[in-house]
Amino acid sequence: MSQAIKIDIWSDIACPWCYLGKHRLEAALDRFAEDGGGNAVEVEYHSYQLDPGLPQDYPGTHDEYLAGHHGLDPDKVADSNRRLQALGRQYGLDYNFADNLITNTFKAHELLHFAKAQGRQEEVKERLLRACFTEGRHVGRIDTLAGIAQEAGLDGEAARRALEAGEYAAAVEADKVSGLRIGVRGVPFFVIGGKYALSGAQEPETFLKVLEKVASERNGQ
Amino acid sequence: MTDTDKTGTDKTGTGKTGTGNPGTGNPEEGGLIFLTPEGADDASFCTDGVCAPLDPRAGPALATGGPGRLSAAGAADRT
Repeated sequence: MSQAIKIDIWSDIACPWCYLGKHRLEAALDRFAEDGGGNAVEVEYHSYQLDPGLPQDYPGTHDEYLAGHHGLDPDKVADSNRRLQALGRQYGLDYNFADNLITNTFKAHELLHFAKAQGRQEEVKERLLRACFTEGRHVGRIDTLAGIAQEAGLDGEAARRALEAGEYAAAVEADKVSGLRIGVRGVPFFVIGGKYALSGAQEPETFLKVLEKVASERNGQ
Repeated sequence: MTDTDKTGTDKTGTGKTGTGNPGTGNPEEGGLIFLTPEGADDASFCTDGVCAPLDPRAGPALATGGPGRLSAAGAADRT
């Protein structure tokens, strides 16, 4: 059995393209599992914060944040929202920007590290993204995060204690530094096989081509 | 044009090539081969397949804000 192909992903919770990119990658992984020659794949999410200066409670909506805080044209924000909603539907995602709460995602990233330590990172990542972009839940609050941990099959009270103690804060910071070091300037950002880097929510076909390339290189083809 | 046209799908294999010793299995141990542009370099934030911070080239000092704290690279610099 050959060594698993590692996929390292830098992403933020507050990143709608990261949600789409996760599902496009998973579509590629499904296809790779069918005809990838038996190569196993291991996925690890790394922390990245698009706006580390945000407070826990941002006084405005998603659209107000993009238009006001970032100076984007409101019409372009609306266009972008509609486009993401249409693309998301292809993967069963329901973007609900009207209820999206803008918050600092540092604690959510701590939860992802808590989950990783217990082998449940992917489940928690999915739950966090859905909570943020579909359910309009406040993913900056420890109460919400402990509930998400529980929903993902983890010990919610243990998660709460870890978050209150900042047990994984250093791990979050280390991920952010590692991202900057390798040249991450936007997310989602994928490194496949420790070698090939892709920025953005690429189509499944693109991920699949790279996975097949890594597999063929490993198999000496 | 689809979103992937802009995010680099059509550029796979033609992008900037990294240096060093790729393929060690650890992204930090060797140079990476960039198959797509490295991300938005301007203030586009969340468009065209990628979300970028307002100052994507900022060093690690940018990434030190915890909940409730405002970093030096806050909104005032960006509008």
